[in-house]
This record gives sequence, structure tokens and C-alpha cells, in this order.
Amino acid sequence: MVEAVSGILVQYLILFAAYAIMSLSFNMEYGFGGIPNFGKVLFVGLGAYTFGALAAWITLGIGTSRLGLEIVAEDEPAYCTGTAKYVFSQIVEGGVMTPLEITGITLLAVVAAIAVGAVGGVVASYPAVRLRGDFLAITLLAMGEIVRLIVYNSPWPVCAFDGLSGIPSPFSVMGLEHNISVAVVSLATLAAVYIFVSRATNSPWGRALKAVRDNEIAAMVYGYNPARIRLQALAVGSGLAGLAGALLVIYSGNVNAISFKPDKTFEVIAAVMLGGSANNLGALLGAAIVAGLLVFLNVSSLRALGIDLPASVGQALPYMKFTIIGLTIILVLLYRPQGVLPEKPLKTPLIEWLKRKLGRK
Amino acid sequence: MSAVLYGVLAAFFNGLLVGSLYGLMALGLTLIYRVTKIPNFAFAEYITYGAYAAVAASFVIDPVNSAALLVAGILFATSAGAVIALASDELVFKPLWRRGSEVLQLLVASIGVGLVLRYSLLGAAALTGGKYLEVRFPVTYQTVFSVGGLASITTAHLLAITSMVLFAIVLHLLFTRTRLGKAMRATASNPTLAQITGINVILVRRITWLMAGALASFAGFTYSYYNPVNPESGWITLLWIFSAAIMGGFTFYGVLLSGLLLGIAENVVGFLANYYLGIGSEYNPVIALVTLVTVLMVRPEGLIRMESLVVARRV
Amino acid sequence: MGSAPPVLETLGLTGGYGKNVIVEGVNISVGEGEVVALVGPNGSGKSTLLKSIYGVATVLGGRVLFRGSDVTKLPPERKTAIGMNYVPQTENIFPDLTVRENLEMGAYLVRDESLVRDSMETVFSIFPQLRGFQNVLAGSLSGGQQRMLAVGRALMTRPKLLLLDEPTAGLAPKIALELLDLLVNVREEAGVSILIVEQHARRALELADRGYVLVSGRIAAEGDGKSLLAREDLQKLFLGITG
Ligand SMILES: Nc1ncnc2c1ncn2[C@@H]1O[C@H](COP(=O)(O)OP(=O)(O)O)[C@@H](O)[C@H]1O
Ligand SMILES: [Mg+2]
Repeated sequence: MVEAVSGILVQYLILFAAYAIMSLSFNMEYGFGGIPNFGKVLFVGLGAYTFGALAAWITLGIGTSRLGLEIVAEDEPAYCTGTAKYVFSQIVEGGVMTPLEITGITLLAVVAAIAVGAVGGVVASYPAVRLRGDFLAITLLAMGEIVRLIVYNSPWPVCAFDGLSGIPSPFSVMGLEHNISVAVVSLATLAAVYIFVSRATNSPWGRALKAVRDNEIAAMVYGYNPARIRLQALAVGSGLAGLAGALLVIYSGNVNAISFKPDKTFEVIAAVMLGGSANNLGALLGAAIVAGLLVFLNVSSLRALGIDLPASVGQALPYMKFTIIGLTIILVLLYRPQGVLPEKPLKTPLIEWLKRKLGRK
Repeated sequence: MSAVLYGVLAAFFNGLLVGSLYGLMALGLTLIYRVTKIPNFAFAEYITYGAYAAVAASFVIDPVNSAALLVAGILFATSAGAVIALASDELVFKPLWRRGSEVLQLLVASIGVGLVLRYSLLGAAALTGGKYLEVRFPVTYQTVFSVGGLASITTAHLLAITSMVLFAIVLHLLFTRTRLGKAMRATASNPTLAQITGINVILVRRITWLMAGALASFAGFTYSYYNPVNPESGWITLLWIFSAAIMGGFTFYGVLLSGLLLGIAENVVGFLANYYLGIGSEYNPVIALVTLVTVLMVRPEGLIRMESLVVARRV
Repeated sequence: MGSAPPVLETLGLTGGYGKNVIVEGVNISVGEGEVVALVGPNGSGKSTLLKSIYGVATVLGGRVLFRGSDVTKLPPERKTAIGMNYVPQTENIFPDLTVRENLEMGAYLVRDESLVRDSMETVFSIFPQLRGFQNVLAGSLSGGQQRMLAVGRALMTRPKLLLLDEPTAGLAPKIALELLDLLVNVREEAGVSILIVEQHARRALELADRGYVLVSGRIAAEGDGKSLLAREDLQKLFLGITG
């Protein structure tokens, strides 16, 4: 019982960290920058695919040569084959790779995930500079779906609808407990991301971002370049999203495009709106609540907590979660649009001056 | 006839049906967008609920009399859709609009409404043991004529095409010729002024939602008449519907044509891609998605605008 | 009482937004056939006063009488129905409707087709420029034409009282003064009493029968146009605004 509960808690902490990073990134773009990146899940996905494919590819390459195996794969990457699963299991069981090697591979793949996410963000800034509001939101959402559909149906990069699975846990190779290690690393990563995002949003750059959000013309008159600031926000935000994607894959050892549906973006939107738009602590709070919903409203979690549900309720539970997410979005918009922790008014002489000089509009 | 030509013809016929459905569905989305400026993601669910309501009618009505069943299906569907659409406005969109919410907030709200409706239906279907996770209207279409045996025109085609054309004409005339339609456009264009001139903007809004909901669910009924329906059917077509609406520049005739073109493209291009390149039909939605993104990037005001009146677009 | 009541009378009218008081204790009146100017510095609450009279802003106290009957609580559309009309300072047309449709919507409450046609003729005779643009989207008209359309739309119900909020704002001075002259004609052609808020204070007071000066939400001075224009203490106001 205690073990089961602590297991769920660890799982919760990991999901909290991943959702908090996504929320901080969405909040930076949308809350601070006014860019409705409703394709958030696309960049999380890019990070996940990149991390999964790269880590699997390198690990498998080293693993097969050390085990003296050869994998013949047609029309799909070698890491999608059954033999690859065997090689992966051998690596986890130990001896094939040193902890140093697997750490290096993991770090490399994480960096690649962030980089690919960021490049995706730069691509997304093309519409983001040209479109506004609802049309931009729809465009980014659609772009996310295009990519997901293609990845889901094509063996490259992550084995189509089967997904890429069995990626060896670097922590297991090091002889550490996987979930707890992932939780520790995720929370540490989250702390670093939080400090980074808080610094960025409170810096002159962050103020420029807000200025572009509030009054693009005024910001332009003052010498900011809205297109460049949007591009930077999307690149950084998407890089962070890619990092979150990589964390999710490190945790589960699997990547499947099916898990990157728009619903995930909606979860992040709900978290940020609930916590408080343009407030970084709010994003954390929102992520804590949404992750809690996702982890604890689960048949297995509830059973571990001693709550047994009728089978039919158990079947309906995964759906109810999204009903609750939807309700959260609606209720927050209706009754507390500023979120639990509202945006702190930024009182800088520059902003005040801009507002006075150029009027509101 | 060669196999390719035959396949293309079959795909074309199927595209006509699917495309008319897209057009029909996009008309309601357009109506809401034109009057309230809401890009309504919950619209998909009005379609789904309409289909489910139509099927529910068959539990009430004696299934032997298929004509009565069809009528009951339409009535059930349209009233359910109208009521749900109106309720979503009264409970969510109207209060937000009154407060002066931005379009983007309304979009987010519609996502919320959509999630609630879709997943409640899924949840309810799961709770009841899963046998309603897929339903089908008990009366199905019949072939009217057929080329060879696979490429055929059915009563579903007739229903979808006729109703789409009819509703598009009605809506177009409504907007350009009638007092109510002009009041709708006036309400959209400047609600405060509309109220000053004596238009009952609240009533106009309610009529809009009732009409759009009825249209959506009528389309849902039509869908269930030729295809099994599940709680995600509407959601899955939503991208096609948005593509059609945006491609048509939110003008009724433009949206009709765009829907048709997209449906035909989906099937014919999909068939050819499969035949020559071996690309599976699961990639078909890419056509809608690419159309959507391209139109928005290149001509956000729409590709096929068929109205002398222009919907002014916010910059 | 012997004489007819004024077309419009406010008694201690206090109005604003929500609980926010912007204009306070305002007593003004507009007599039958009168053109009355309301002038004052920017932000003094002129627009808010008109909105309070029409019920678009919140009435927080006092009363509004139209031809002797209390209309304080009537919603805007009812006021339009009983013979008042109002042209807001901004957003006073339907940009996505054609000129003709704008006028038709102006007459939304008029069920008699021939009356609508007559009113439209009257509008076109007052503002001949509009006639050629009937099927043009209102949003694509020039600024001056849009103002004409806004006033024309309000005339479609053949009101007894017209509230005009800065109908010349944002227009080139020459066009603005032309439009003002046209508006005075409206009184004769449409038989309507007018309460006009105007930034061209000097010109407005010259044209109007009487004027009120609103400062910080209160009436600071009133009288006929000439005597207001002659007052030393108000000179700065007129010069400041006319520019
Ligand atoms: N919709 C509104 N909500 C809240 N305050 C407003 C609104 N419109 C105007 N105000 C405030 O009311 C005051 C008077 O404005 P207004 O009546 O427009 O003045 P004027 O027309 O004389 O220039 C100003 O301080 C303005 O900021
Ligand atoms: Mg004003």
C-alpha cells in the first residue's frame, strides 16, 4: 500500500515537472507574448521523436556491434524491429554499455530534442509573424496535426502506429531506480527552466515581449522588432517544449505519435489559464493541478489509494478527465479570467511612458 | 473501363457525398462565425450529438416504418442540436461576449465546450457498457444508380447534395435579402449600434444559434444515415469543416463549393496517391490540413469568396 | 402648464460606467425645434452624458424626460421606438453593411415600406453624396461620408430628437464645417430637435440656438450661443478646442 502510494507520488512528480515545463513555455509565448501557440504539442512531439529516435539509434548501433549482432530492417528504422527490443533489454540488464556512455547519449539526445524543438519554433514563427489571434491559433493547431498524422503513419522516425518502445533507461544502466531518478532529474530540470523563464520574462527582453503583446505599433515605434521578438519567443518556448518531450520519453521509454494529439495542448492551456496567464508561479500551480488530475483520476492510482471503482466507471474515467479539463477552461474564463494568480502589473518607467505617449489602442 | 478510371469515378462519387457533407456542416459554422465572430470548435459536437439524437429516435419510433423513422430522426437531431448550440451560447459564449472577451478567448472557450460535450458523450457511452461507442441510423441509403457496381449514386448523395444546396441558397438569401438576415449581419458588424437601432440583438443571437445548431445536427443525421457514428465523428471532420469555411472565405456559396472540392480532392487524390504511390488513406486529412494552412498563409480572407459583400477581417 | 414641455429635459442626471460617476447633477433641456450645443474640454463627460440620456451608459441618479414623460429606465431600442435617436461618437455605422442596408437597419423599427422609402429620400436629399454609394460597403466610405451615413441612419426613424456626438470628429476642418452647416439644415428638412456635442465649439455655438458648457462632469455655463462666446472665462476653451 505505502509503496504503491509512493509510486504514484513519484509518477505525479514526473508528470508535474513535464507539464510545468510545457506550461511555462506556453505561458511565455501566450501569457507574456500574446502568441497563441495552440500547436504546443507539436513541439513537445518534435522533442520526443528526436530524443527517442536519436537515443535509440545510437544505443542500438553500439549495442548490436558489441553483442555481435546485425539487424536487417526493410522500410523501417532498425530500432523498430523485434531484435532491437532484445538488444535494448540486454543493455538494461547491464554490461553492454558503461554508465558514462549512456549518460553521454542521453544528454546528446536531449540537446538534439531541444534544438529540433527550437528549429520548429522558428518555422512556426513564419505564420506567427503574418497572422493574428484565432487564425494563428488554428494554423498552429493544424500544423501540429499534420506532423502528428505523418509521424503516426510513417515508420520514420518513430515506428508509425506501433511507436518506438523499449528505449533503455540510462538510470537503470547506472544501477539506479528508474522512476525516482527520473523524478529527481525532472524536478531539477524544472527548477532550472523556472529560473531561466523567470529571468527571461523579467528582463528587458521580457518587457519587450509584453510591449509587443499589448501594443505592437507602440513597441515598433519605440524600436522593438515585433517579428524578431515573436521568433525568439517561439524558438525558446519550443525548445523548452522539446525538452519536456524528451523528459516524457526518458520516463516512459516509449514514443508514439498517438500521444501528441491536440488534447495535450488543451491540457496545457487549461493549466496556464487556471494558474494565471503571464504569471510563472501560476503556470506551476496550474500544471500541478492538471498533472494531479491526470495521475490521480486513474483506476490504478485510485485502487492504490484504496478506492475501488465499478468497472463501468473505471472505463469512463479516462474520458471524464477531459470533461473536467474542458469544464476548468470554461469556468476559469467565466469566473476568474485572470486565473488563480493574476499577472503582476509591470511598473517600469518605459512601459508607463509608452502607454502615456502612444495612448491605448 | 480501365481500373484506374473506374476507381477515380468511384472516388469522385464518394467525394461528392463527403464533400456535400463538409459543405453542409461548414454552412452552420459559417453562420455562427459571421454573426458572433466565434471560431467555434464546439461546432463538431453539435454534429455528433445530432447523429446520436437521430439514432435515439429509432429507439422511440417503430423501426418498421422507415419513412416515419427518417422524419423522426431529422426532428430529433435538429432539435437536439439546436438546443445544445443555444445552451452553449447562453451558458458560455454570451456571458463572455457581454464582458467584451477577445476572439481568442472565445475560441478557447469553444475548445472547452467541445471537450465537455465530446468527452461526456464518450464517458456516457463507456458507462453504459460501450455498446453506444458506435451507432448507426437503422434506415440506410439505397443505390439510385450505379456504374459497374462500386461507383454509385445513392439516396445519401441525394440527401446531402440537395440539402447542402438548398441551405446555402436559403442562407445566402437570408443574409442579403431579408430583414432578419440583415439584422444578423448588423448585429455582427456593430452590436451596440444594432441595439440602438432597435434590433433585439439577444433574440437575433438566439435565432442564429438555433439555426446553426439545427444545421449542424441535420448534417449529423445525414452522416449517420450513410456511416456509423462514434462520439468523435464530429471532431474528426472538424478540420475539414474549418478548411472549407476558411477556403470559402466564410461566404455561403464559397463554403459550399470549397466543401465539395475538399471532399472530392480527399477521395480522388487519396485514391490516386494510393494507386500510384501506395500512400494509404490515413494520410487523407493532410489534404485538409495543408489546404487550411496554405489558405491562411496565402489568402486568409478566403480563396473562393462568393458574395459581393465582404466579411471585414480584423488585422 | 401652458406651453408644451421641452423635447428633452434632464433633471439632476448622474451617470457613468458601473459605479463610476462621470457626470453629476446635470440639468439641461432642448426645446421644440431647437439646436442645442454641448461643449467642453476633452474628457469632461460629454459623451457619457449623451450615453446616459440614451441608456447606453449607466444612469446612477436623476431623470430623463422626453416630451414630458419619464424615459429614464427605457432601454435604448425603446427610446428609438418612441422618437429619439442617437449617433455615437465612434462606431456609429455598420461597416460590413452597404450604405443602403445601413439606412434600412436605421429604420428597423419602421414597418411601413413606403415610410422607409420616403425617409431614405429625405436622407439622400440632405446628403446627396450618399445616393451614388448605395450599394457600397459603409466601411469603405470616406470619413466624411461615414459621418453623413451615421446621421442619415439616425434620421431614418424620423426622430423628434437627435443626439449627435461629435459628428465632425476626425474630419478635415473644411469638411467638418461643411457637415456642420448641413446638420443645421437637418432641423428644417427633418423637423427634428438636436442636441449636438461638438469639438468645433466656436462654430457650434454660432450655429446653435443655445449652448451648455460641461466641465468635469458638471454644467459650468449655459446660455445662448453669442453670450457664451462672449464670456472671457470661456475663451480659452473655445480657442483650445478649435485649434
Ligand atoms: N466605456 C467607458 N468605461 C469607463 N470609463 C469611460 C468609458 N468611456 C469613457 N470613460 C471615462 O469617462 C470620462 C469622460 O469621457 P467622455 O464622456 O468620453 O468625455 P468627452 O466625450 O467629454 O471627451 C473619461 O475620464 C473617460 O476615461
Ligand atoms: Mg466624447
